[in-house]
Amino acid sequence: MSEELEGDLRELMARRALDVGVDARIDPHASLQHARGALMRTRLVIAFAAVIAVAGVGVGALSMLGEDPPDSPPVVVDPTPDPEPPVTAEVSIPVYFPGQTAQGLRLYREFRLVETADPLRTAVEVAVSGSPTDPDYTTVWPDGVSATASYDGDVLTVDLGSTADGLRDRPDAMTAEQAAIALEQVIYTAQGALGEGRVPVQFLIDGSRSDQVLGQPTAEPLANGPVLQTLSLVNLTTPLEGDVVTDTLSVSGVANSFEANVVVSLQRVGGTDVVFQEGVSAEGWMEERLFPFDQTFDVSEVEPGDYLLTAMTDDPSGGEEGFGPFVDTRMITIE
Amino acid sequence: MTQRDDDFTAFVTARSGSLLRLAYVLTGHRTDAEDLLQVALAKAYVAWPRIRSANAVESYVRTCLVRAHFSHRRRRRVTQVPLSIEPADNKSAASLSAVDDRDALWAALQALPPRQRTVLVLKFFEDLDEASIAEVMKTSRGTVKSQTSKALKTLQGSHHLYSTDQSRPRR
Repeated sequence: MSEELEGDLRELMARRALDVGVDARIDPHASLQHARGALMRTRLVIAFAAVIAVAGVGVGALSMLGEDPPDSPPVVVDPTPDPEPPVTAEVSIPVYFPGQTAQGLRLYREFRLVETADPLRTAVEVAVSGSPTDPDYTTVWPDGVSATASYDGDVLTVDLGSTADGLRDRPDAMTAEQAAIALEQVIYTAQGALGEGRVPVQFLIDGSRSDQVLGQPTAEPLANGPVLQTLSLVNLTTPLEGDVVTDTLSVSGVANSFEANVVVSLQRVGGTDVVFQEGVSAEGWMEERLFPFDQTFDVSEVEPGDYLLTAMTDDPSGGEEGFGPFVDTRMITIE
Repeated sequence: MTQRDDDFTAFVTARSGSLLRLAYVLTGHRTDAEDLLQVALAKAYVAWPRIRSANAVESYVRTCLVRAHFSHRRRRRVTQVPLSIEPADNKSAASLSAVDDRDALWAALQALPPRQRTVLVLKFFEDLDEASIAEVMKTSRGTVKSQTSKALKTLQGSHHLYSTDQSRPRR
């Protein structure tokens, strides 16, 4: 019975695939136009966020996001100079982005090097309107949302605005899971950028309190969701996506894994050749937080090329029990 | 045209047909399939320096395609799922034409939750093994296994031909 169904499914899919025509193609030039637009938008959104954060200050160079190949058109930023610009500094800010895990959407942290007078504000702006550097992470906020943030010594306030429809209700295209993780993303990002610990966050829409944001209750200041139910239980800090590595590969991150064991492996892209797979000990496990891990690998003998670095939580059951491991990956190039 | 542009258009020319067929089997709609593929191709273009080796590009696009497919709730599903084929009274299942059977199975496939449908498409259309499906969907092999059996069970239940009890009254 089952084999019959499986055979029918194979045949059906193969047959229906031909509905699109044997010669059907995407027009490569139209596709290229579309793709170039996407690349420009990716860059502009990030540049825009940084410009908002330092509004009125001439920001010429944005040293963020490793990937900026020489063949790309430059992003021109030319805001009006302010007679008394606030003091800007180049700082590394944490921004959380959702990613799909074996246990649904969880948050991953990326660090961004930005020049800003207000790291907190820049961080929440990037969280709601920026794109993750790692293609495995995603964004769930609707287009056209902006955010500012402030701290009164007691409560963090995040003020959201949108060029599109209201932010009070959850859009049709958004699941409840996405809405919940969207708010957690902003809470964790704001707390991380502020650096004052787990401070409660009050959400506003256009300067006013709202009983809900994206359908989630927000009348009162919100605590962050429990760490082990909200964050990915493994998260690489280095290397960064697209890093070029010579001789030594420094792998670091945070995790909460069985017996503090984080499994780190390096695999050739497009091949099955595994350069190494090793357990790395994090500084702890079991408590309600993530623990740092750090290990340096000698890659001087490794053949140059593109590699996939994977860090995963240890799953002694091999996926038979529970949900399977948490995973974080980086594409790197070894030269 | 930069080197990236040249490589990209060459890739689209060579591989978009096969990727479009995958997108169509996933979505069941020509326009959705094209939209989905354009989004996946644009992501690949952005990530090009990282994925430039030919094998990585195709698997990257396929992964983007699959993840984009089930990460967005698709509004069309509610309105565009064809009604299941209702056999006329007293007609035996065997007398349905082969075309009707296929339409009914296709409709049942489209009505599955996106993740379950995706698992079946990757298994039976792309011929991927469990480990590869798990990787593309960024989930565990256990989940792939359970989603597959759940999906097959649903299809068996909704599709009269695979019902064990032929005399059972049909809706």
